Amino acid sequence: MTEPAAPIPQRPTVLIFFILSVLLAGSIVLSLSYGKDVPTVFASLFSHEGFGLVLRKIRIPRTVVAFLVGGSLGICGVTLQSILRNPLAEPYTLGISGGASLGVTVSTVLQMQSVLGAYAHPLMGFMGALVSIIIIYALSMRRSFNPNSMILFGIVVSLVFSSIVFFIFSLLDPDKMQLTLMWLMGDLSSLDISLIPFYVPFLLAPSVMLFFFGKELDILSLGGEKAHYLGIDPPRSYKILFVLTSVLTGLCVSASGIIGFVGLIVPHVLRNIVGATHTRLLFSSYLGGAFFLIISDVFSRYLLYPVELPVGVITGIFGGLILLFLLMRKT
Amino acid sequence: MKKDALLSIAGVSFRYGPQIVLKDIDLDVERGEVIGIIGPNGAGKSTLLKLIAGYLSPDKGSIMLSGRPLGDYSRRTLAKHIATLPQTLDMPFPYTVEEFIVMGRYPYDRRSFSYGIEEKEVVLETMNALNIGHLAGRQINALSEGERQKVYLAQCIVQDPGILLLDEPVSHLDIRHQMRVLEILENLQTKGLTILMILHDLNLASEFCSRIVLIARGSIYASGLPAATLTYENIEKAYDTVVIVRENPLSKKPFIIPVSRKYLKADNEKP
Repeated sequence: MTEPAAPIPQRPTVLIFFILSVLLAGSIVLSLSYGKDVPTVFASLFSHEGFGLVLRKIRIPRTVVAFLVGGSLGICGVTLQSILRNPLAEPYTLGISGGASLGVTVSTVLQMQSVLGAYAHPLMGFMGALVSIIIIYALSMRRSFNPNSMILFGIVVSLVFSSIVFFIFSLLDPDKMQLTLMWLMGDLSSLDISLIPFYVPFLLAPSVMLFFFGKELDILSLGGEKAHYLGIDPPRSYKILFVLTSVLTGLCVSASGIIGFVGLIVPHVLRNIVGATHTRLLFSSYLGGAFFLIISDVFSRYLLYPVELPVGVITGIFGGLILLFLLMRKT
Repeated sequence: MKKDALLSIAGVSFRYGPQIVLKDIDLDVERGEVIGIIGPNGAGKSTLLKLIAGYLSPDKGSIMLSGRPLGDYSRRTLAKHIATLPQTLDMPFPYTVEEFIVMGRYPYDRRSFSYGIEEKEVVLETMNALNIGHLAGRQINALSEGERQKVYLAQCIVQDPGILLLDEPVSHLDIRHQMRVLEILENLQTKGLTILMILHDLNLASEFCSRIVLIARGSIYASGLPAATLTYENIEKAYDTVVIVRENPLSKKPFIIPVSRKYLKADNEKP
């Protein structure tokens, strides 16, 4: 006897993406216009003085970077979680952000800008991220790839790298320390806006490339052995994906320091809504990550106005609470 | 070694570090065979399956698929010829049954972001054939062991392979689900699929396999029809356990009864 096939419940994907886009658009408007009404903002867009200047020099660049960094961290989280088959993986927990921050710190201390120009920080951030991921991968790669040991090695590397960063900072003079400490906690205010034309393409291109890995990430999330049987060469895929996430993480850290939890909380929440399929998860996590960081940045600017908080503190508190809530509800 | 064999394994050895797992394995597999690989734990059965699947490479010897060395096939092409179900497959993410099964079409579908309608139709057909159509929207992790095993199998089937490699496909299932899964496999065999599976239940192997390959201590100890291989001498030697072998009254296949040691003291004779 055959049981009839029940109609497959379709997820309201279009609706979910529409809601995400509306939220994102709302957060962008809020970030640009906070304290002013929207018509004034539109009028000022074309003006070169007064609030127009604030928009041009501060709010627009800051919102653009928050968008790109938030989105990038979101999809880095999705990618690493699939490879490691663990919903707790993200650039921060894996020590990739730690490596990037060490790279940027070295660049600061050695004043590499005098040699490499304005691109010294992003470049060294990427190098640091890549080095840390290579170390972690190599350590967990004895005979065959073991995702669980990669997480553990990631935590170790993360601790060691951040200790080195703090050691270097402790040698700096106190004035400099305050600024660098802000940056280390995740900060969108200290960005050099002349670098925006560099960040836009170099954060967008790897993200777009990651979007094309959705189906492969589905297969990889079944584990290396099964992925092999379905026609993929996992070590080759891992390497490509690690390089892409290193570029993104390195640039994000050089732009805005270590912003934790975005790569963890955004995919976690969205997986419950859009499902586990990675193409949908990548696109929605980009939008969701951008939204989450922009809205967190608005809070960081105005919560204790005129004192500005590092945005990493806000994402940490928000993200931690949301995650706690989700975990409590599950058990 | 026969030239026209679908799968031809010749002189294959494999070591894991210093430990020799398999030595000098020779095995030819014809199209449409259902081969039951049996043997004690740690004998090298799973390793043999991984070698045939191309996941491990032999240290010595060769494995040919349709007359060409396995290494000549690209990963994607090989996935169209051989589908493999590993012993354990845990799912960290909440895929639905349909989302999971359609991944079996990965080697065929070159689309960037999703699977085509025609691929989804293959999935639907297979689900209905296996009687799991009603599970399509359910989450994999919420299924019972028996249902999940059928879903795993469905993913291998939509891969449309010529050879199916299964590592203990029925070990955790109750007797009803064991029979259902093995009947599905029997049905696939009549459609020309070749199946190699590791089984621990000797009686199921006897009932459902056209050939038994008994592996012990890294070598093939016996290979042939169930009646020729599942003798009490072979089983006692390979497993170091006393058994009685009878005949299944309906199928006339060997039927193996394990014998507890406590009954051996009183009656030391063997049947």
